[in-house]
Amino acid sequence: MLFITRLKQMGPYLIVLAVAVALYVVANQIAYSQMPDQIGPDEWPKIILTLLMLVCCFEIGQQLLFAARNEQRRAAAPPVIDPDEMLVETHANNTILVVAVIVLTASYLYLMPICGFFLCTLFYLGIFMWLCSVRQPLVLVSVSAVLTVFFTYTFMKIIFVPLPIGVPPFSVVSLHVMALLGIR
Amino acid sequence: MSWRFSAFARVTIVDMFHYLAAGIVEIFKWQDLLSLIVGLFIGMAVSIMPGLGLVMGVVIALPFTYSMGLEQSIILLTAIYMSGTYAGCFTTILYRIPGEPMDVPLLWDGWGMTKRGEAAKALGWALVAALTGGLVSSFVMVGMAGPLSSLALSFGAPEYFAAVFFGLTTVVALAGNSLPNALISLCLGLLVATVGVDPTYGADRFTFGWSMLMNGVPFVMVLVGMYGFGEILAKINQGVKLDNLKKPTSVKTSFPSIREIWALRATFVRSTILGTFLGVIPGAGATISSFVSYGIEKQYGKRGSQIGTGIPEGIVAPQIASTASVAGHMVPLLTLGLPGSGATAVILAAFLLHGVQPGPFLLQNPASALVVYTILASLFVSVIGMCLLGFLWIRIVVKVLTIPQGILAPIIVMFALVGAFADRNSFPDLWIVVVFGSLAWLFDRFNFPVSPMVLGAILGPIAEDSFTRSMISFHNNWLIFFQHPISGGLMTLSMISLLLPILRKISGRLFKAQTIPKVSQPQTDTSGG
Repeated sequence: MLFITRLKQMGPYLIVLAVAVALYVVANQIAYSQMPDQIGPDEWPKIILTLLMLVCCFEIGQQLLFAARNEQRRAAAPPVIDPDEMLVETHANNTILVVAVIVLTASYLYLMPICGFFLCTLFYLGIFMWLCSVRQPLVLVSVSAVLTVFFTYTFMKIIFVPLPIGVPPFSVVSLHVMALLGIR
Repeated sequence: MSWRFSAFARVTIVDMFHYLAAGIVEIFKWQDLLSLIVGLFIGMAVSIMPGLGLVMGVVIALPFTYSMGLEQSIILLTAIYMSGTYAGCFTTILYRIPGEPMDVPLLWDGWGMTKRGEAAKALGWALVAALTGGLVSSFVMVGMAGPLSSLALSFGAPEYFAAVFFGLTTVVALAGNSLPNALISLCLGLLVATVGVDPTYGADRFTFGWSMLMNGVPFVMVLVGMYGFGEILAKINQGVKLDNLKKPTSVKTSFPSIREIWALRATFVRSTILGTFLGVIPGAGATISSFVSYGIEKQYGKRGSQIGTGIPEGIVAPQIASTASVAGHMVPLLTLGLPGSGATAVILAAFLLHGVQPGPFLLQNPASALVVYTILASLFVSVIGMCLLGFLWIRIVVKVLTIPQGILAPIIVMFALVGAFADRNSFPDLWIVVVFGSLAWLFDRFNFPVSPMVLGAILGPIAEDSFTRSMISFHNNWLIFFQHPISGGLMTLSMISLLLPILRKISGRLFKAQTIPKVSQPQTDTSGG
């Protein structure tokens, strides 16, 4: 149990250390023609990676050597008042919800060139709000629609951003909406 | 008056007042004034809503600046930044909800006065404090712009490297509770900045054959990802709810009398000096200034022992310091090209998007000097404008609190995504935003501060360039940074700033009995403001 707890605490540092070592190996293989008396393009990244590895090793070492002492000190420390806790109701961890939002956003980006900005945004906003506990169908539909029209108009008509219209048959919808909004 | 700041100075005091006067005239042109007013409203709205913040406000506004002129863009973002340091006091005093971490010190005395039925008076003190801090620090910083720019002109590569190094070390020292975590965050940011084709040798670095990485990782995407998308993910993770909002009895502002203000003159002077000069230090944003000023007032103020019970000193000290820090941050950005906080990093991005590199050369050209002084003049007008808005439209402004977080979150993410796309009309950029947003959430979960990484990604190329040039110019002499007086001084300060957290820890153990109510440190965004 203690081992798992320690592994959890060291996890981020172990990952960063592994990434740093891998990148150091990659930095060693950077191809360039050396100029006399000049540092190469690999020098600066190597300095940073060395520092990164040292810090990670220090933190891992500290966790291994002083974890028990730190735990005792933490337990003995006076309770800390969290201003957020005093003021608003908070739920500590909504990892699944966050992952769902990331997956939703990634899907949105993947589908946008195919389905077009208008259709994708309409559904993206609706689902996002639903994930954020907005459950009234009328609110979901109306707010999604209004916001999608707002974003389409603002970015395409005012800021001239060429947002994707998608491929047929989805592009037909985008083109109709654009015509309705007066976007050419 | 032909007095010059130094032998190599090109900006005289006469020039300064001339440009400042011209800048004030410029600011009242309708485009600039409109940008300023819109900026003030946005700044107020985002800093009132818990979960958002002034950095997110400037990130959201960034895409709208693409189609604007440089002057209007920077005025818009600066106005958001300025009013963002003030508007949080409304919700803090009236509803006991600090919109930003910097508003937490206001809470103890602000809410204390509200409980006694003195909310209007508390708001009046906050307004006077913001006005004083903002105006005095803007005036001091305008005066310092010329000398700082002249000093920067004498900088060689070692001095520039030392200045950037100092900036990065102070950001590390002041961000969060863990120095190793802040260092890791900074190193990751510096590494991100190395991705792409090396400008000196043309060698591929960490591109892994991906063409989208050849030009490097655009730091705007890192900014939008980590401060925009990432912050929203962090808030979703915390699941903040604001359903049980109590309506305050009064939403009025009542000004303190001249006699009352005079009685607090020591607090006003102390906090203004602290806020202005803490603002100049990279990493010490509005939040740090606000906390430090409150702590100093508690320890050295005439009524220090009563602080926390609902007295005006507890409102004046943090509010002055947080507003004063804005001008403190803007001047190093304009004269040295070095951003010291999240908000100024976004403002730097706006400069670069318009093809302008801020730095000492801006003040040498009359046309660009006018732009700089117009931006500086906008600080004065912003301070007065935000106080007017706060006084006249406070009822309307606090209405934004009624927007449900569930609706607000997707709106912010949409602004972040479409804004990022608008930069280069590039889809791969959006994936970068999502990756960095997810990374920011992981940072939040494992208590790694975000600010060092963002500033590392922004300042990384400047640091590498000045480091490489120093090595080439001085034949790989690593001691060169310590041999020049300015760079040596800055490197020494850097070492001190890195040692500070360790000393703080030791002193914390020695003086465990604290007098200030113990509140958890803001983790990710101490330098955000």
